[in-house]
Amino acid sequence: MFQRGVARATLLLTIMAGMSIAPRVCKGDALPVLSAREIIEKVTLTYDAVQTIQGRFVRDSIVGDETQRVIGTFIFKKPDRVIIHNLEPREQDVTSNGQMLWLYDKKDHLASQLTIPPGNEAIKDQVGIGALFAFNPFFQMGHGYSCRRIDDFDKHIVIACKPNSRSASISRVLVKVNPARWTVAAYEIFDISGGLISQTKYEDMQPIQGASWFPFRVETKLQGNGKRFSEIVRYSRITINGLVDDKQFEFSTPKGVRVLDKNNSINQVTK
Amino acid sequence: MRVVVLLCAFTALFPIVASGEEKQAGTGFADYLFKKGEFDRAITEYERVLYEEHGTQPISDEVQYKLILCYKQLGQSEKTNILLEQAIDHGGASLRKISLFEGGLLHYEEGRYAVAAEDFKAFQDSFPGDTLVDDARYMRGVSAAMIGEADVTHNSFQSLRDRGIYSSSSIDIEKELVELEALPSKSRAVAGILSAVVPGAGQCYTGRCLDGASALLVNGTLGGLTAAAFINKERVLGGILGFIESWFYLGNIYGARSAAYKHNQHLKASIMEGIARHVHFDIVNDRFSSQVGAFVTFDVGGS
Repeated sequence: MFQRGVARATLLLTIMAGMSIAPRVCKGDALPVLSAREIIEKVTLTYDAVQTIQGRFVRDSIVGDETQRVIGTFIFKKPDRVIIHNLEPREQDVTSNGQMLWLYDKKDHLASQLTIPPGNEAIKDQVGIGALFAFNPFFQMGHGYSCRRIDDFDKHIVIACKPNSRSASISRVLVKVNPARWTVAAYEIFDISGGLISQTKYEDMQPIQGASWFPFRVETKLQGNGKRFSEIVRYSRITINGLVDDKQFEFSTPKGVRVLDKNNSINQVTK
Repeated sequence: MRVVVLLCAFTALFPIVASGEEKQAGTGFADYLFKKGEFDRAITEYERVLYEEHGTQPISDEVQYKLILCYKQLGQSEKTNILLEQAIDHGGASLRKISLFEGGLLHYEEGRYAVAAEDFKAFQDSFPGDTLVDDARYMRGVSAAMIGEADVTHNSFQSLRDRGIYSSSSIDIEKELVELEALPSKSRAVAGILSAVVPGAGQCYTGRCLDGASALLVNGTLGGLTAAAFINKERVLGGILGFIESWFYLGNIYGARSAAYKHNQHLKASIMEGIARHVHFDIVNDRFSSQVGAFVTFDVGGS
């Protein structure tokens, strides 16, 4: 009788222990068995859910011992509508409806407008749009890269992408994906000799409105010609998929502001 | 049986009661340090309380705000701003409201008027029915006035001009802004051209006739000596004197332009001083402090 009781208790304890350990064993550290294409699709799906983002940013650009800080607010609406309102060090607005780009300097009462040629990302990078919203490197790479999954690292999936074009100055791009949220955690770009060109980390990931994850700190390090440059962008007051009217992205020239047409070099003053 | 049940209940409740007392004691000591002005040590204590509370609102919200106040008192603007942004992003409604307004006041005091105006605008948008909304509207208008954005000031003051505690201040500030727009500013181009034609004339145009007279004397003398040297066929001396004179001549033009700029800046600064004199910052601060008092209490054990 006593022996049967002990045997039952042992069995019960074994089952209970098994139940408590089982989820951990099942969950383990194993990452999803998916191909690079499937992973890229999942990541793209995550970022596709975001249609508008607005908030505040503090961007520190560090070259050597010097740091230049820009503080501002932004509204971004897919695919390419942007308003950046720089508050410091100088009040300046960057407005784009996708086809046109306006730069407005409040202190100088001067605005410049230019047409964005289709597919020209360089202009956007020049005014800081590219750097602010480069959250998904797969989108930026487009179809010009062949990607494959390589060894997982630090509970993250690592995807290596090589450019299809041989003339490209980039040899490969390594993208670290967080499989728990299907967001990009970091990416690194290497030159043709295998040297690191840039490294971008998306940190302090936090859920916005209980849904989309957003990196509240993005750090980018660039290397080239023996010089080092780094940029840290901190975001706050983020709203995702809030209502944003398209009319906001049309620049209306304030009274008495001189407009420079950078395409035609025509000066005009609004009265 | 009842005794056993009572014992069990006591055993279960005891840790909760005990931990409650512990929380009180932790905040109390931190508050005591804050009141004593030992902000560094108060920060450590508040951080400890936050760690023990595991982010339980509203206690953590209150402690979070006290931490912000500590860093503000220590003059650590960078850290204060980071914590304020975190509070705005993750705090409860009361902490968000207080932090947004606090941020606006902090930036205004630091002379960062564009950022302050943006903070008060965000406050207006986020809490349109709040008791501090008129104060935010007023401070937005004031911040915009300090950077010469008359349109924003005008729109912000629209509902304040005819009523309330900010009525007279709003009217006075708008008057100053009108003066700013009609400022008798001096053109840098005109000053430069005048000095190019007659050395010193540009300086006189900007109200610096003494500087103008000395510029005329120096340039006239050097110019005369240069001309005399060339007339006497002393070309080397004439060349040297001409070279020196050309520098003085260019300096005279640059000086005239610079004088016009300084004249405008001086006028603008005096208007800005006038605006700052009309700002009822103390009233805003007092009204905000009373709101803070309702949100944050300092438990210093009756001392």
